[in-house]
Amino acid sequence: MNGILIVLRTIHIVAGVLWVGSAIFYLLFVEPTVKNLGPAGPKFMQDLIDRRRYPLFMNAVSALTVLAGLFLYWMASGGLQMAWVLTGPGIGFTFGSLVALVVYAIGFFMLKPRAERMGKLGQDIGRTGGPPTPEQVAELHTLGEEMTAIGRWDAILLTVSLIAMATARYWTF
Amino acid sequence: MRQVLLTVSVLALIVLVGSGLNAHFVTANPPAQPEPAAEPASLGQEYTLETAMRDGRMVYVGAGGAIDGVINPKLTAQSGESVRVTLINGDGMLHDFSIEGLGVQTPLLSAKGATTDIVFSATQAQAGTYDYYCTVSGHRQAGMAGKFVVRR
Repeated sequence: MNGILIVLRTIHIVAGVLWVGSAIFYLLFVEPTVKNLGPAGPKFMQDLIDRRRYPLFMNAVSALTVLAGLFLYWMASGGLQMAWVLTGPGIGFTFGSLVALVVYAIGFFMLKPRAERMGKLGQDIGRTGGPPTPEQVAELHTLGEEMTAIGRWDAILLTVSLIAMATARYWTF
Repeated sequence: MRQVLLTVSVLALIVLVGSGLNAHFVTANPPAQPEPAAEPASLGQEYTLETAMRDGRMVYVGAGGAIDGVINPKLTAQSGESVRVTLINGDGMLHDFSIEGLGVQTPLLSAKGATTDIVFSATQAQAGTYDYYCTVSGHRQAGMAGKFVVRR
């Protein structure tokens, strides 16, 4: 049992670090840089999304974090025993897990489609070889604004979840 | 869909590797026992505790002897005396037994009916009252804690 726990915790923590770190890095550094790059911004995003497969990476690390976390939660809670859920650590881990699930859903249903659309637009623009049409510029702008707004909430909620998870074992009420 | 399949495959692999590691730990390393603080003369006390749910709480229940049926029984020992604590997983949840102040720690048990035991002793200098508890997060707060008294 110790071996399984070591592997699951390693996966959960390493994937979680990559998930939270990447979300914050995107929000604080990548997104403002893309804005400042002007016409080169869409090209950068296309490379990030299509070649570097950023959305796939985020999906993989978030899914691994959530699935390994569900296993760990199930084992620690004794199969959702209320006696455990209502303890300080139980409340902390439950709260952190629920917030992380919300973030996962946001990423999967709101961020991923927009990132993919952005990548597709970048491809279209690259294929024509010329400057983007006003419609494409407008759509890219809208997508960028939406991703910034959603990404901001994503990063804030992820940080809340991270703090809850990291400190839950010390919640002694 | 491909991502879901990939993720499930990776997790299945992880569980397999974890099982392999677990089997390795079990076969290569028998349950760790702390260095005895003093050379135990002979086995003085034997306690058996079974994990269970009672009145909506996670608890240890004494099995056999004077602690039979007692919830989170008070365990006692003379200093220098060797003590064996046997832990039975009676509820199929993840549990262990630990006395932090004496360096006592059993491996984790998860399967219902699984058992482990640990033999230890305390010196005269360690006489006093200690908490024993389950180290899985939240289990101590959920009720899995009792007292272990070392008499001079």
